[in-house]
Amino acid sequence: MIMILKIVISAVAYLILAPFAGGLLTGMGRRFSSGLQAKRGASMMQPFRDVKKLREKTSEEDRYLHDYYVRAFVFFEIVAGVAFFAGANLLFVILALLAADVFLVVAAYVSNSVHAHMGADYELMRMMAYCPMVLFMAAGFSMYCGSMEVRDIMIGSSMPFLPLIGIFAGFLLIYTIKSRTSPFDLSFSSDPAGKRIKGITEAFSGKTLAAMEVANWYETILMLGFVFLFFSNGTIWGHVVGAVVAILVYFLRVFINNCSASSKWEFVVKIAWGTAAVLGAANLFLLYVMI
Amino acid sequence: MGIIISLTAFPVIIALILLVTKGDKTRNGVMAFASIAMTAASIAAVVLYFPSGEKFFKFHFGFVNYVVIGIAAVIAIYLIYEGLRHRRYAAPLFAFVQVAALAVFELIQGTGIKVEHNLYVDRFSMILMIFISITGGLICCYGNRYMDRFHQKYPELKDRRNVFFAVIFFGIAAMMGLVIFNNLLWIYLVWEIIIVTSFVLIGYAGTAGALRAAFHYLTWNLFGGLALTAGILILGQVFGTLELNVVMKIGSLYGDMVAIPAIFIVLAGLILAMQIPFSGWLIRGEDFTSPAIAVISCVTSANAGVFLILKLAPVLGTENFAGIMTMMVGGITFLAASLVAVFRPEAAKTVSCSTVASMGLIVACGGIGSAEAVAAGILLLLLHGVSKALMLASAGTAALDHEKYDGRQDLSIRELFTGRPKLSACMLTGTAALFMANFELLIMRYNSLSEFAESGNILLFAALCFGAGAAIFYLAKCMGQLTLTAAEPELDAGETSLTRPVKLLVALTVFLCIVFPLISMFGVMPYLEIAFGGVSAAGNLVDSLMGLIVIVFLVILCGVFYGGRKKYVLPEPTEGVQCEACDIRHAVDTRIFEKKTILIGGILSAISIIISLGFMIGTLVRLLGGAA
Repeated sequence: MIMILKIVISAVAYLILAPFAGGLLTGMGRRFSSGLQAKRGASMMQPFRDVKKLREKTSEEDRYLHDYYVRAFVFFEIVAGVAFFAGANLLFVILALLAADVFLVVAAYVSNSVHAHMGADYELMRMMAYCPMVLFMAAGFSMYCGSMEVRDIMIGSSMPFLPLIGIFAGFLLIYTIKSRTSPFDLSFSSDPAGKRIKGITEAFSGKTLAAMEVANWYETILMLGFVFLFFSNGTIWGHVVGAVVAILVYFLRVFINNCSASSKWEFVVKIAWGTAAVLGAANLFLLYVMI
Repeated sequence: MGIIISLTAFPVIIALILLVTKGDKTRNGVMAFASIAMTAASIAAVVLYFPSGEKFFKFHFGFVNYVVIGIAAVIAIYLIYEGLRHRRYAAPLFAFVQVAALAVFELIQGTGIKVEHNLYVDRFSMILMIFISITGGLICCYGNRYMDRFHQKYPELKDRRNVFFAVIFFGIAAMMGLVIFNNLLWIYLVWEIIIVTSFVLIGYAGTAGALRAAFHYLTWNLFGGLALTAGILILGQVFGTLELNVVMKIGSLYGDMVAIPAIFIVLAGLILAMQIPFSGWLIRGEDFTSPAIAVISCVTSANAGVFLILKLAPVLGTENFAGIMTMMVGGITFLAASLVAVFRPEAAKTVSCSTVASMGLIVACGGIGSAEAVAAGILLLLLHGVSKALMLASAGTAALDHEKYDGRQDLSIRELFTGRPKLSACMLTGTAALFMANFELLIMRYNSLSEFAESGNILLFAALCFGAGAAIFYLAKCMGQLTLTAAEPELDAGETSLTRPVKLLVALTVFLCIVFPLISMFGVMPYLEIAFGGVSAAGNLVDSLMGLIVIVFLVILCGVFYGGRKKYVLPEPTEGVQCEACDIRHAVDTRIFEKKTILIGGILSAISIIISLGFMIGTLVRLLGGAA
């Protein structure tokens, strides 16, 4: 009974609090980013104001098909996050994340814009790049902590960080890729026509963009949750360290975004797969030998 | 027992009837009747034998083995004739050697070996029986209308439809036999029948390309037949048995020793299941007819190879070389085929690569040899068969009606399906089902994933993870493009008669997705209890959860197109840059990439096979040295 109550409470807490935490973090990130560029930057509440403004935009046209699929994307992102914080199996969370991304790609295709199609292709490349590493991560946790359930890993007896350090490094890379920031925001390889950072959202407008922004906040918190997982060892110290590292990682990502230019998709895939192959596989092999 | 026998004999009779049937409507009627009758008989078999789990039958007639060898010889003679007629010499040579060896063996030794049970039926067989009847029937229904249009479009090709469908039913009969025969000699016969029927189907068009593909298939599979013969001979000569269940029993006791003949049988299975490097004929894709490929990949050939591997799975595993070979070849196939599919925009390539990749996954599961892995493999087999049949049917229909189609199969998904929203929706359903089936196997099967990792076979695990990444790419891209074409307005209604069987296949796919947790709980798990002696109970919960997820995914993705489609609207397409030219994949020289990937994959596979064979020889020498 207590278990179920705990699960429900964590799930609801995530559902309600994550957007606020995510939005706040985004705002702070933007502030930090501006600070790096020696500018003043918008206030930390700006993301919330942006979303509010986007939601106010009404469209007189019919309902577009891509809006429906973006809603599906948001739904699966939230499901992934809720599942994670409710302590479910890591693989289920990964599957939900992948399904969410698939819906995003489908939405981009259905928006019938050439730029969106190209953006969708890049998004697919991103998915192809991060998928192996994320599966390695699940396998690593399974081997070290004996289970892939988040609730089991959270109460594990020792910090998984050191034994899984290769996988952690790989995960940081994946996080940068997944959040679509430099150097992985994927410009066209040889076309000087300019960047296609958010090509997928080319045809989206108003409420749909607002929904996507909120989904991104949920996803940020989920990703930081993964980082947290690497440090949880059942004690309060583990939780504290985990939370601190997670926030540091977020700002590290913003910092990297500021410092780097975009790269070609071949580079992204190669580096992601290369890291997965070298760091991830080596880590798993070492774990196998150790355990 | 009568029902079981009739399930094999009945399609043979139907095949003979079909040989002489000329009219389209008559043929349709005959095939529909046959399919319904066979499904009913399979269900009757389920009702009779499911509760008891396994049942063995004697079915002894002294002369049956001679009849079997006789038929095998006749088929071999036909193959030799065909080979010589087209000036290919490897195939006739292989055919001659196998059948001669088996005939000699049977005449000299065969009578000495006591075969207790010639037939058996267990839950796995029964599930497959129903599956073959229904899927085979639906594909034939689709095929009939397809071939009608096909011959209208290409009047220069010889109309041998009666042979085409008769051969399909011979193949179905052989598959039925494969799942109920316990006597390995008989299994060899149905093996040969499956190879011959597939050969005829692939080469049906009679063009140079078709014949090239057909002989490629034939030569490799006859080589596999040599391996199968070797395995049977070793089992008969050294172990003194020709029965499959006895092999399994010995296997549970003396794993290492049985691995020696097992590796040969498994090799034959790998070749039949289109693993890399044996799948060149499919991936090159020349002049096929869509129903032919549907039959080969979803009902007979590929399923036959995979069935043998899954059946032998308890004997395989991470400890012995046969298992390791199977795992590695399966994993490499999955990775290589998925990578090729990523970079080839043609619809036909995507579909054939996904078939090879899925087969690789199932084979890898069989190689792992644990109960959960085999469970995953069986379910993937069923789901793949049905969704792939649907995909092939939709794509085939779209291709046939397309003006640009000239048999060379190089249209992209977008080109193929533009203006055919209903067909796109069908293909989308199939692709989504296939996507979910693959990822169900990889991701949701918590047990199998952690087993893959903990087995220490990091290479296999890495291959599967990277392959998963590639698979996501091409499947999601497919789904995206199909959703777009499904939402576009209808330009060309096409022949409605062809879309009816496709819709039936959609119904079957959705039905299977809903029902597969039940199949797993009541069919697969109990089978595994008997085959492996105990399965963890966690499987059931996973399956129910997975079933729910599959349905949710399907409904969300495709449900839009089956109901209130009018609610949603597509934005105006942007002007300007042509979509295809900007396709990201044109940045890579895809032909060279494909060749390189297949080459590397083939080399790695071959290395795995050779190393395993080396281990086998080593074990053999050790055993013989120890005995002597």
